[in-house]
Amino acid sequence: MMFLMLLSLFNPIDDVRYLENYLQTQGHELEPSKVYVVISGYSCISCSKRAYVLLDDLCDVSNLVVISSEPASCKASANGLVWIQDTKNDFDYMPYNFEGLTVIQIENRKIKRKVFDLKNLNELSKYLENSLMVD
Amino acid sequence: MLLRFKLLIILSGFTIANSFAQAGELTISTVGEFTFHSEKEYITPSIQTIDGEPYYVDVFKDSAVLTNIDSKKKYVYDLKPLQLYRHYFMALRFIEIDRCVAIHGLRDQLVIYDCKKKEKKVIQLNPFLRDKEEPSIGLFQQIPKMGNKLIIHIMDKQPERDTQAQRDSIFSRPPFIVYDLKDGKVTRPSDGKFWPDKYTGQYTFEDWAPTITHNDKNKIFLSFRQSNKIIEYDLKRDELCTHTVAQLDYLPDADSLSGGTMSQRREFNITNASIRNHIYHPELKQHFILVKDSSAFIVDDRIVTYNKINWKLLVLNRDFTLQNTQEIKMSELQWYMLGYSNKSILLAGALHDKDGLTYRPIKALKL
Repeated sequence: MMFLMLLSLFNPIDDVRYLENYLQTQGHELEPSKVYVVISGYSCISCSKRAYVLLDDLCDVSNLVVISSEPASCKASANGLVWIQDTKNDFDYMPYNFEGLTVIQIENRKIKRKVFDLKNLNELSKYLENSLMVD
Repeated sequence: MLLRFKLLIILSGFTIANSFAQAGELTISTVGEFTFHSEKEYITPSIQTIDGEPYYVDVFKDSAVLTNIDSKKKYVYDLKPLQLYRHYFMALRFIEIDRCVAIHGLRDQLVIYDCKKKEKKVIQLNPFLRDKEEPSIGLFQQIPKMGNKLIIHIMDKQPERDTQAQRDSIFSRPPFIVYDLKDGKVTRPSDGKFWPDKYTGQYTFEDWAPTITHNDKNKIFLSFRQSNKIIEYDLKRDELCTHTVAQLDYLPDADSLSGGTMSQRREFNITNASIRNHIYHPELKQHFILVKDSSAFIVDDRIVTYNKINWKLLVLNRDFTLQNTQEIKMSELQWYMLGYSNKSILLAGALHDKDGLTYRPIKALKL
């Protein structure tokens, strides 16, 4: 069992092709300049709702793509935020094993990801505002 | 190459897991399909034995629907006076065809409710609980009825769960109390080794409440998700003993998940085998233990879902020796529901839609 646990560390979780294939099934092409935000179905519902409120405030940012099982809010739709709604939560079954809210950036065909606990969104808020949104 | 190596390791795990003695094939047949109640606020279903007969019980926000699995006779009760949903009653058990008990999670109360007269009797459980203990309620929580007695799960209060000291403190304590419906007395078992040794000192597994089943007389059996030990408690003698099930030796070690994130826990639960339900058939005098087998985590570039994993039902004799093993397709069944009738074990199927209605099949495993 320890072998299994150790081997799991070498999972190809930074391989971009799963995300690329997934986006194609959803009618989108992978754009390396974009920042992808995945809200996993393995999160508490009220925590996810707080994440949506936070994303609403950031929805005028053009390089953000949100993947979630929930529909985009009115504000997000009105501002043209790219929002992929996948009611089947297929994204949760990609080999990345998402949890909470994951911010994904693409570098050299590799996935760089940062996971945020939805119970504490302050960190996420700072991260999105300071690291990603400054042109 | 790496994937092949992983598969090899997993397959060798399967070989160990499959070293169960195989007796003759058992047959599973559908004994009935029940239309699903139309109400939306669905809480939790279960198979319950009421007055010796098996019933499929659907519980909703304000009502309960009981269907006799053999005769198909239906009973619908209004549960509004219980304010079920608002007060987080999640466990509901019918003790007679028109009388049920429920646990009020926030107020530590046991409520006995007469569905016809619409009268309720409230029993305060606080005097029988120690500091920081509460009756356990959860989506699939049952209130087992053993003769005239109700077995009530207890556990540490949730906010305290993440401290190691709290976790350690429960190891010498019974995870249940017993309420006698006849004389209204509550019995709290003496402290003892109610938990498997390997759980001690570990804040790792998620199964805080063991699965509780009983022989309908005086013996209560506790099984744990990741342990090959079944704890037996004799209520008459206030005595404990531990049984080891050799076929479950491959369940994982406790420290495998130490400090795991949500993702790691998900992977752990998929890749490792675990016990998911256990029921004792008092007439057949056999244990039925539903085991989710070990599995690869990723197959065909997708994380494996529980429905795609092999499950098995272990049939154990009274002395915990293996009688039989039945492979179960979990895509067709719901693991949290087990019940029994005269000579069979009842399993609930997954809901499916047909002609605009939702159905739940009930299947019987004949022995």
